[in-house]
Amino acid sequence: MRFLQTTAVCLFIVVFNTAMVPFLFFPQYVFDPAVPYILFMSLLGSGRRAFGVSAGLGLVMDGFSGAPLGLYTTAYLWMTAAMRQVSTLIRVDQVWMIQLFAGLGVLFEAVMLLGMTALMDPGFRIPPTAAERIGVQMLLAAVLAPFLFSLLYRVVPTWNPSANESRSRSGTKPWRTTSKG
Amino acid sequence: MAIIAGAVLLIAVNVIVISVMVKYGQPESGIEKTALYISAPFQNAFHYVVNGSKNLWRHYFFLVFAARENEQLKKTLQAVREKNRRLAEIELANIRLRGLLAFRETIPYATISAEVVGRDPSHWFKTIVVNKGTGQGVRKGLPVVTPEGIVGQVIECTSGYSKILLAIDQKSAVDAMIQRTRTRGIVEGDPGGGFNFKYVLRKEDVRVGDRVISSGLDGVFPKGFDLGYVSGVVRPTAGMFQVVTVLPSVDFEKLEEVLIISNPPAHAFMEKR
Repeated sequence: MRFLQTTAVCLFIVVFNTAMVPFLFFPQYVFDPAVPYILFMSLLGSGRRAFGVSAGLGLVMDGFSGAPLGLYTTAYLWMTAAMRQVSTLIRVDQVWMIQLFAGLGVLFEAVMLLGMTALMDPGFRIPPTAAERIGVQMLLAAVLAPFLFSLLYRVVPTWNPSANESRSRSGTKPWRTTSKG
Repeated sequence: MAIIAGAVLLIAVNVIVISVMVKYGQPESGIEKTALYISAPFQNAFHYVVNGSKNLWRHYFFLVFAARENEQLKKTLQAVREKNRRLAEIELANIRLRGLLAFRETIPYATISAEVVGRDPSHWFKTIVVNKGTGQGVRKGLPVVTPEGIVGQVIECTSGYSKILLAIDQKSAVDAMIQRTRTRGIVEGDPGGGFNFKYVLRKEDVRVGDRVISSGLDGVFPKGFDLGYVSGVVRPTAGMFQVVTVLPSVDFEKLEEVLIISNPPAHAFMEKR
């Protein structure tokens, strides 16, 4: 069941990125929804599952993309590793932290992809609107990440025992919606 | 017998009285006036009640039926609108496909028509996925075109799908020439979404608005297919080449159907490779 649910979410992300985005208003500002999903899995999933989902999703995205094979996979795996490492050092339980890391995740992915585009170009050229696009994408990711996290928390099974315990015990989310102070 | 005779008499008298009244008119008397004076307000009140009831029915109770009817009509309207939208979409597809068919008949190559089913998930690489693959005769390296011009090249194939590198991708390059002057160069994808026409010598005559077509010398794209129009020419004070920008003739954002040329002209140098 968990496998099917995870597969369904991954499939939706792939279809959204490859088929739905062109039909949206301002498709150039739509960020990759895989980023908040990977951050979510990194925080609330087991390590094995989080890396598995990142690798699987990355490979599928690589298959659809014109980017060199492995670029998406690398970006997602690095993101997972970084998020898991960060979560061992600080407790990511505030909404602003989720917003911050979602924004940084989008920036990281864009820098990797854009960097590769520039490296492959003999003139090391990057699109003139890149900064504006990435900026808006980061902003959107930061605004929408808490909502996506709440949605994912409802529909996606997590493997982190403490998260599941918290869910079953009180029905509350493992992150706080207001600051402590 | 007496009763019958009495009745006949009464009828006769009645007819005579009415005849006389018709002839001389109704005499004025206070009785009618009094009756009218007393009964008229009641008549008026009755009329008011009846009319009020009618209005109440028409404007309130009847509205319930009107609301239901309105709801039904709204549903019908929605269905008709949906049908209309679908028909408009079919009409547009029909126009596009007719164009594609007409174009297909004009080119001397075998083609495979395909629909665009997906796009590159990143914003920085320019590829599309079409619904035809090796099962339909598509193979890596085949050129892809539309009636507007060159779209790109097949870079990956599965049995049912193919990935196409668009000509506007930075990794793409097409050997091209200016149609008017036959000036040759290489058309490369620009990060901004257009083309750069590179390696055009400074001495060459290139003007804004010149049509750029494929030269057929790259061994991939057949000769004579549109790439776009020259949108800018800069002749730097130093250097061998001009900086020529080209506006693509294909609207890559709105690609829906494409033609894959399945038997492009093979050059001798290609066969030796």
